[in-house]
Amino acid sequence: MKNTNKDNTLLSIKDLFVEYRTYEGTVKAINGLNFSIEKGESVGLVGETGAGKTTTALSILGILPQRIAKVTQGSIKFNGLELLDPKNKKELEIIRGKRISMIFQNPLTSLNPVFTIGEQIAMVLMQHEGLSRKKAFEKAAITLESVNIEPRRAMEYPHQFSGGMRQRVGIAAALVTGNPELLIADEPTTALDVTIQAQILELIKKLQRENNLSMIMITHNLGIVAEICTKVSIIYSGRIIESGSTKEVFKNPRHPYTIGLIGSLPDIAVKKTRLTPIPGFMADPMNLPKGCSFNIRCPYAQDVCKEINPEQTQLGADHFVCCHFAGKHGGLIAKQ
Amino acid sequence: MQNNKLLDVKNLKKYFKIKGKGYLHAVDDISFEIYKGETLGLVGESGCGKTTVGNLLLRLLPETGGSVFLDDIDILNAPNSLNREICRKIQMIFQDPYSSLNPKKKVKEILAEPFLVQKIVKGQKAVDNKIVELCEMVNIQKELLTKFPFELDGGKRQTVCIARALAFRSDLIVCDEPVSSLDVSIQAQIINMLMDLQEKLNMSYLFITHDLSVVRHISNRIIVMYLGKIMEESPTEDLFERPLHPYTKALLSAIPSIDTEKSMDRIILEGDVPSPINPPQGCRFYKRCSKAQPICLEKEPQLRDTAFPGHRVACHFAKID
Repeated sequence: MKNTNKDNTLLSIKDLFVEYRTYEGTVKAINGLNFSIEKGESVGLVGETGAGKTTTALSILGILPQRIAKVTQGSIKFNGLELLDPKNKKELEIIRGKRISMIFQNPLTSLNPVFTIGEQIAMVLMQHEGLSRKKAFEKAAITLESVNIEPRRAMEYPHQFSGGMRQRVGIAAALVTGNPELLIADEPTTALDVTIQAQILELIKKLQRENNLSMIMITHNLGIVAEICTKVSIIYSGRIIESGSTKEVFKNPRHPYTIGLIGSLPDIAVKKTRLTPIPGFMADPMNLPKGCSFNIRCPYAQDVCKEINPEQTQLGADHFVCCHFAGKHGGLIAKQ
Repeated sequence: MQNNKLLDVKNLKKYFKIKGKGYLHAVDDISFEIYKGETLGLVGESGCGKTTVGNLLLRLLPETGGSVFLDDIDILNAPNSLNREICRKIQMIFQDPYSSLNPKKKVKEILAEPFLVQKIVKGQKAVDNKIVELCEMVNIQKELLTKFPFELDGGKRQTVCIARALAFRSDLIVCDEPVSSLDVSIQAQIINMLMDLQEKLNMSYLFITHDLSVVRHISNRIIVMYLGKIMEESPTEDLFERPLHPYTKALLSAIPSIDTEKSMDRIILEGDVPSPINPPQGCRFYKRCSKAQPICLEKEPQLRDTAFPGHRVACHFAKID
């Protein structure tokens, strides 16, 4: 994504490569990822398990597992500051949790079971605002109110809360320092029931409206993206293969993977006679195929796809696709 | 359709005793039927008792009360001599293919096990032939037979589970969230396979899920459960066009759709599902219902017929004509 309006860019990731070194071999999790988000924007990052969604989020915050993960190449700039530069480690510590916050996927494992939730939220305040333990705890209790939890429950432990409430605690902890500029929500509702999911989404929408948050919503649920995000980026094998405004991408998907993803989803609003699944399985990240990493599953793959990894092609004002044939054949694929 | 009744569940109950707290009403007096060749979707949130219903039908749990008839056999009170026959007629596909396959056995041994237990196929050769037949039915490559479950990914594992459930061409297969632990693109493959197999073998499915989009796709009829009770029962399309129960309405509206223009007005339910331990008198949904009246607290609404064929609802105020 090229920035037409450079000042407005909040976060930009350029040409990022991340590997995990395991006993079995090197897992290439992120392979040349380009991504950017502007102020006030909410972007959905969509992909399957193992596509690199969470690795992207962890790279931004600099909390990749140190011993096995390695960023081999690339840059992540937040407000112009290079987050990957070891010299900026101090700044990153201030940014993390205050200016960039994260909501984690599983509220049961992201909260510490031996501390009360008030203490856990207070830790953020003690770290970032230098408040005393007592003051921080008081403020934490008040913050709980903003996510519809009674302040007196700050003394309770995570196991005393239901799943939806735990996730709301996670949201409170992410937002307690005031206004984070960027909120990363990593599958915030996957572990929850639908009616609870609706509550959480409503809460996120409200916070977004009130605080003008920028948000990266990581999910595999296209419905959530359609509802909350103005833009969407589809990730496959550690690369953004299609991105653009949510409306445009969902109405007029151009990458065969995006088309497959939409075709394979049963949707509540539409009665489909038969799902059209994507054949095969995701490429093995230890052994990525040459050329486009989708070529083994792609019904339209040609020789060129097995040789050259496609560059990004611009289709509309704000619609980018990584496919050799998306631009040239004028949507030949989309029509089939 | 009446004559094609395969399974008849009457007043089924399951209470779990919780030490010092009383009884957890997991399944509380529910009745329904499953017809031959149809898919009945059973939906509800976690803790509403849907998996317990599946386990009761498979006789994996002892029931507290009620009866289940399968083709005129009272399976809950059947003599032991009928056990094998009943097992052949009802099979189950479990939610998590990672924990429902024995990690110490190869795929081939897993698929051979039903035949060894049932002893109706004699001799190694005959068993091998049966396994090959199963593999063809669900497209398992021969190479997979010598692998252990941990060597397979989620989709393939679930395929093995499906093959195992098909061993005896059962009349009824209870599918307990068979796709919820799989990725979307794999999910579609499995759903299509289940639908194809049903067409070919004329089986019935009880499809337990919390995912209403999936259930709309695969089911002929749907039952909505809440806290151990049936709230609404209806043919699929009718339910989506005309949900009658306030809970069903909220449930349907809660699902985000790709097509934002078509999605309904969101109804947000307050609070969480209440505890099923010693549930209150009256309507189970009372606490979260926006239309609740005093009568809802006093009198429990019974499932009653409406003007729409096959559509039943348990609500005092639902518009039934």
